[in-house]
Amino acid sequence: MSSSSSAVRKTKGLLAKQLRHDLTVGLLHSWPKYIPVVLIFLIPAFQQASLVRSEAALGHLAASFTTGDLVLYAFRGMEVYTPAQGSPFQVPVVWLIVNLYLAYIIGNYPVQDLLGYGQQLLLRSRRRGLWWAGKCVWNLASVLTYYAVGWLTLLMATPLLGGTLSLIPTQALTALHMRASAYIAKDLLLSAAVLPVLTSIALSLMQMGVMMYFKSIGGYVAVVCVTASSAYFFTPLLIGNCSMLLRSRLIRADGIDFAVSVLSCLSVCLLAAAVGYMGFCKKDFLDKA
Amino acid sequence: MVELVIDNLSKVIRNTTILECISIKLESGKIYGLRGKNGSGKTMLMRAICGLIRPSEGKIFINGEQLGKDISFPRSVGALIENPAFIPHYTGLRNLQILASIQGRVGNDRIRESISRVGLYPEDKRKYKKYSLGMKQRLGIAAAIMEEPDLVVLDEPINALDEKGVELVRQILHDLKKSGALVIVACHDKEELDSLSDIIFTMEAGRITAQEAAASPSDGIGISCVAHPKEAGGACDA
Repeated sequence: MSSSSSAVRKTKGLLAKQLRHDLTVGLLHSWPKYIPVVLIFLIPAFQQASLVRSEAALGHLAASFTTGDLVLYAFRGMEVYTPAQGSPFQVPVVWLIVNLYLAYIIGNYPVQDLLGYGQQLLLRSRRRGLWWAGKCVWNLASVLTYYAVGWLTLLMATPLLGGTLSLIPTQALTALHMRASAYIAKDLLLSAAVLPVLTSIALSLMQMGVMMYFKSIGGYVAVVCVTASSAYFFTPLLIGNCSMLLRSRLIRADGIDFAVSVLSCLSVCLLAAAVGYMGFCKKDFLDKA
Repeated sequence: MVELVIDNLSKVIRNTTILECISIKLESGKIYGLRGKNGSGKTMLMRAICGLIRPSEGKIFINGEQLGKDISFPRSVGALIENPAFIPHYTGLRNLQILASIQGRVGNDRIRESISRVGLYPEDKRKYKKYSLGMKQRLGIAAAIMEEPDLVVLDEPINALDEKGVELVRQILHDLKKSGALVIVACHDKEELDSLSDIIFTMEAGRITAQEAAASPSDGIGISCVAHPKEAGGACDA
């Protein structure tokens, strides 16, 4: 009994050291990569503010918006695309950039670590599982940091662009962008707070899992494929759909339910973590050549 | 004490044979040199011994435990394979402290001693990213030896070192051998390898093609070391 509890204590100690390494080197020391996130989230903020001003000038709207409006606008995604005559596919540029830049942040660190210092840690801990666990937690922390920076940007941009610091969306703008009532807007805000983050965690873990088989570029390609396909096809199996508010059950009768989105994303998370671990256990640690 | 047995080891990566039919048995208290051109398989053999790559065929045993089956990595190993890699924002001392904290076997005194042994200054406040190539190499060697491992694997340890540094490495390897470690070192320089090693394996195209005693004799303790070069066109020797 005492030897097994000692082994558990030792494993926890090793895990703590692995986590400290990953969060320090992979997150803290990589802070410059999060600077462009401010710009990425400023784009929809500026778009929303100028739209409000144009509509107000035409007398269609009051010239006011809140932080909640900026949040809904930033995470609305795009309408379901139905191929039809004269109906071209419009790329949801902002939504794509949000996802693809995060993929860039995720893409580098695990492989760099494997090629370098992480190998020395691995030879000493002698536990592949700990390395993988550390990377999964780092992944989660990176996504949360990404969105924290995004939300802070929207929060700080609000007064600078002439808006009101409030998370409650205005009825008029919610009706304009989301075709939803103020009541549903609050539910939309909850979805905006949870689903893009969960979707990104799932995509990032999927990216990391693919990297264990096909290198960094493979992981990145996988994210591009899933996000691009998600924009084009409307199904919760392509999890990019789960992060688009315009495809939610709150907006469309045939939209994706919140619970289904959560389940879909969590399933991808678990599958990616498991498959990625299997790939890592079989992986050869080679140099770049 | 450590015994390393490699039994018919082969490794194929993307249809290219990297290692082929390697069978050797190595023991503590000796320095084994690996010689060969670029691409001959020296580094890959070292990676295989450290558990960093998995054999396509064959087995590696360390003290009777099979790598990849009984253990994932050797229980006590210090390795410098290719370029040293540390955290750029930390000093040399801090980098080694982090590594040493994983196993918790050595304290700060030992870490400082290792840094001094390789000719670096333990209290140097410069971050690793400011180090010269020679300093980085020295720190890599310090990391490999600081925990007094039973198995030491050094790939081109004298790269980027000046004469004083090379002499330090010679002394370190001599001390490791005296302390009973099993040391494997790869080096391009024939003369240097002769002076560092007891036994030298020559590698070519992933195979061990020759085995010879180095010009500098060992201390007379009997060695058990058998290499089985593959016959042309045939299977691995039994």
